[in-house]
Amino acid sequence: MLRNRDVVIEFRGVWYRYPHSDDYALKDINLRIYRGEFVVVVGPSGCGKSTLVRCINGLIPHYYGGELRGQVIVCGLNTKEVTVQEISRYVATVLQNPEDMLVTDLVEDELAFTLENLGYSESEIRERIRWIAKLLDIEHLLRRSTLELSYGEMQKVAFATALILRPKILLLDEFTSNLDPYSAQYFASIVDELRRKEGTTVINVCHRLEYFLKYCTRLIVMNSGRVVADGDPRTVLYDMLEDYNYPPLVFIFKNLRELVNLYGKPITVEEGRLVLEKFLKRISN
Amino acid sequence: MVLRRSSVTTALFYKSRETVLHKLNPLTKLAVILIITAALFNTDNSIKLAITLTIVLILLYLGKVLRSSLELITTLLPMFILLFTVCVLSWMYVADKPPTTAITIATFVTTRLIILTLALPILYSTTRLSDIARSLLLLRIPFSVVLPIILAYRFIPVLLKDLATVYESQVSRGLSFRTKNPVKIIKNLVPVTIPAVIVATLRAIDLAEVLALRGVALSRVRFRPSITHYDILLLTAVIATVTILLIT
Amino acid sequence: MRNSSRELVIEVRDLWFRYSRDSPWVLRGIDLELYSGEIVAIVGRNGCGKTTLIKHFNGLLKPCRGIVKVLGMDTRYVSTSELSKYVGIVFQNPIYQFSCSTVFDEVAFALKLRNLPSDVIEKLVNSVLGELGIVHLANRCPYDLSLGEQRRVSIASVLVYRPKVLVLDEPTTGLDYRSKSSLLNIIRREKERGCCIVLVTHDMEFLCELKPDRVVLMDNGKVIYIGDPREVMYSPELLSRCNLVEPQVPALSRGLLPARPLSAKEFLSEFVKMRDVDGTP
Repeated sequence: MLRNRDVVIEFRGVWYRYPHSDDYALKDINLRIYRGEFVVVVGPSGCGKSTLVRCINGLIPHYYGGELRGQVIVCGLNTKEVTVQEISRYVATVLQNPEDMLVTDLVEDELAFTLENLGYSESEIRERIRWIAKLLDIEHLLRRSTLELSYGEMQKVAFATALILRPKILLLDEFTSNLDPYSAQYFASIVDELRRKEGTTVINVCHRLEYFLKYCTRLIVMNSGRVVADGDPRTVLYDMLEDYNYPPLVFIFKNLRELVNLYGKPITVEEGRLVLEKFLKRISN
Repeated sequence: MVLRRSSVTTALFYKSRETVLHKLNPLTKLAVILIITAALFNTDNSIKLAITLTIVLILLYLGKVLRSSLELITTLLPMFILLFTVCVLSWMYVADKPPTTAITIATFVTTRLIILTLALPILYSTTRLSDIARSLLLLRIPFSVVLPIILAYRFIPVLLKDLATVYESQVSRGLSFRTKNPVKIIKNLVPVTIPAVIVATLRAIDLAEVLALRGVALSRVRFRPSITHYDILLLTAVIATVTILLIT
Repeated sequence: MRNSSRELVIEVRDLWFRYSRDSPWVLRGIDLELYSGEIVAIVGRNGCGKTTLIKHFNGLLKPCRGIVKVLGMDTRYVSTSELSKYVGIVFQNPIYQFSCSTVFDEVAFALKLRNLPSDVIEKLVNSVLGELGIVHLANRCPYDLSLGEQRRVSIASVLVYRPKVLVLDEPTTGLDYRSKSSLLNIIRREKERGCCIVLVTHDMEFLCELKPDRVVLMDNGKVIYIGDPREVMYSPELLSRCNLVEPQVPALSRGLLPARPLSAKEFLSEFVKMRDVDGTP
């Protein structure tokens, strides 16, 4: 029996239909996500990735209505039976646009906002603000107005408001769409660091796999509401899928089967270069 | 058309500084503004108006918001001029007063409003919205009323920016307001108004989701700001001055 | 390599810009020339001034110092609605411009503003809808569409009046692969028509697929480099100066392959050439 790994999220026979739609956005989803995984969910527009995220943080069914069949269990709670606010004790969501996430006028108050709502003590809140400000290097922003931040600063603050909760589950809904690649990589590395230290489960929904393959422990590919592939990223990208839009690196090596058979399946640029170097050394001998 | 949003944001939103006013209980500042308003609207005497103006200017200086407050007035100057003109015209033609009387009344009305607007940063620039929220909660106003008020205020600059973005998008497609025809101007306002309203509505919907995701509606905000001796001093001074003004 | 009949469409000389006297300079001494029939990418991190720069191309912003000329016209003396006939800017978020109830009306908007007769409008709109592959959406409400479809509608609403310069502000954010490919084709087709396409982006992978004619690299309000995309993509120092990450294919090939491929397909053909020359293992 797989006893040594806690299941933090479970989808049991989930079908979901949005209120004014005829077609199901999620079809027969059965998933078990374990504590500490870095899950990346990809798929074309309309495949159901964002719908999946909303099922986990409780917005479905409470805010979107529609028809939710089956069960979604998050940290032991059935999402149909508890409110979004109760789920927010364990699940933090970071959205695509940081401007949508900021609701107060001062950065310090912004960081304290969720914790105040959940009933944390003043000293605990102060301690956590100190911690997160140091981690994300935003100490100089604490007394600034949220209305006058630059885009990059807003992104950091929005991120901090999610991480400050030390959530069990961190949901990232296409948060890199508006970011430049450098910032995207920076946040991805911070998220991974936290995951390793605190055992946070990370679910990252995105279009651009490239930034996250370095940290990804599990890759889920969706299409038209179904899970089409699920597993270790190397296996999924090289063996499971046939018709998919791969990151350039993977596309290249999938067409160079002989290298892959000899030297392994690279998913990051560093791994790709190693494979290439070994191959070039070999043919020059 | 460049919306001078920056002076509005500076004067009417919190600026972190170390001044006497920043240390005061928000209710004190709210009380001061209400007292000043009462004083303004109870007098037709220009000397009393001048004294009230001086009090306001002193308070603004103490809060280090004097310059931004004056900038706010300069930005809103067109509005005050419009108000002045409307006042004069309505007193002349609707109330049938002679021009000199109309102008005097209009001057008083406009001056009062200017002084009141000048005074607003005393509260809004020196107090965090969350402190204002907590003070209103102290007054036993329910959280479900306080939160929307605070959020609406906080999102004003955001909505103004959205309006500017909508305007830019439409103008970039050829929309123009350079016409003397008022009908045309109103017709051209439609492609700016519709997206602006829709974007604002979409923002409200997203905001409701975000608030739920951030735990709103669980427990009340807890911390209470304290009352210091500055509060008592200031209140006494203002009440005293105003009482004197009202009596004499 | 360059078409000798190309026209200077936009000229920027020593452009300095800031929003007010108290705020810092956003653009510092930009010099730029844009010609018809080329694809130019303006690249840099968030906040380097890219969007501010393109707003000068149609007069939304006027220079504080320096001069911006569109087809010889000084933007300080011409209104934006006049300049918009020649320079069409498609902004990042299509929601901010939708003001009509059907896609057809939305695309026809700019033409209706110019008081063209309705049969002409109908012809032009239908042709542009056909080019962008959204004829089937003509009677749908713009707000009901997916992001990729909405972007195509907003591009259509600008292309319908055939501007000489098409400016796209971050057109790939939030798009999936299929929408990005269709965007690539749209851009290439407009280039064939002689339109100058300016692309503001930080999506380096997309640029590697697109292979623009020139790349303008910006940092902190200044232009650091203008030139061949291969030079930029293969120069980690330049890229890191602007907070940009090396795209995958150049990062893979740098120092290992003699050639400098940008896209995955180019890499494969270069690799195969090299391997066949050196002999298979």
